[in-house]
Amino acid sequence: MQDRSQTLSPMIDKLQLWRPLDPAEKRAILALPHKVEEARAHACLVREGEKPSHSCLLLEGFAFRHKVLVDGSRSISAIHMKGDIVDLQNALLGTADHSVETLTRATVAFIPREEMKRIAFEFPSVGLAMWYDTLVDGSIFREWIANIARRDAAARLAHLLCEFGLRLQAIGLGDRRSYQLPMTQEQLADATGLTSVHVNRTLMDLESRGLIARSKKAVTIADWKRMEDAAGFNEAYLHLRGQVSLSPP
Amino acid sequence: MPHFFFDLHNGLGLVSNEEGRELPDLETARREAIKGIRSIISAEVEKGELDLTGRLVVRDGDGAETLVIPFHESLTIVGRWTAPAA
Repeated sequence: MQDRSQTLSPMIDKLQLWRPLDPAEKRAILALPHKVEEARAHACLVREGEKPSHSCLLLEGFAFRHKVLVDGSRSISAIHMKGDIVDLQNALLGTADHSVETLTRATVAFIPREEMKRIAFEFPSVGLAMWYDTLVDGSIFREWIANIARRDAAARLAHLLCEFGLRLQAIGLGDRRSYQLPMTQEQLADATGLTSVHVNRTLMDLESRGLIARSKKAVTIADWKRMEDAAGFNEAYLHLRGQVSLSPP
Repeated sequence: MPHFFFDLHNGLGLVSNEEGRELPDLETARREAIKGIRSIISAEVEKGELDLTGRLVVRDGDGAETLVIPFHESLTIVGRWTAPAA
């Protein structure tokens, strides 16, 4: 049994990527009122147009943000993992301007938006860390725009694979060079502006160039530096600032 | 929903599709196949190349070939400009 009082600790770990928090601030986060729900894969957590009363914090599993276009096609604009407050912006913006769906089975804590506002003002350091978190989200969105607008198919996918690995490693969920990717080729296509047929061909291309090895959902990046070069990947936009220990490949 | 696999055959050989996709019916699979071909062709054109010798083979959940779509059938090709005779 997990100690109920520690349920929200992934939020502390995530926010501490940006700022150290003192014991009182950590206690205040752990004391936030919340309800925990288990979600199946492909469950809708936030629906565009709704006015969510809660912010959702991912405790376990993966989710993505997306928009559905008028022709029914889907664009995925972000991937989220443990500790991410997926719709922090809805604590202030009110109406969801995009949807959030789980990629895998997930455990989600729902925190009332009023409580998110309260903690930010009562504990300015927590507020600052949350502000930082939304700024880094913005930085990642800018990188994704550059990815879809200007990189070719191979670089787009290589870039996504670098980012996913590095973010997993930053929160202690794995090694950036070897991990399970919880995405189908269709989802990869929606995240890179490609088609699933093109994604299949491009992954095979990355494999034949010796940049990645794959087995079902497992991805291995043999030579991180070569992969970074192929992707045009510069981790600066993730703002992890040496907090991830990057041993040589 | 039925499962479909999309194998690509082109000048470089076969790129088989192990994951496949669940789609409502064969007609949707055909549309997805054509979108896939066009997306690959577009990327090649951006690099200054147009090779229409490939084909996409759609297999059903049992692995049986159900559709073969040559690349050129995904496009309407309208010839080229020639200079008028002097």
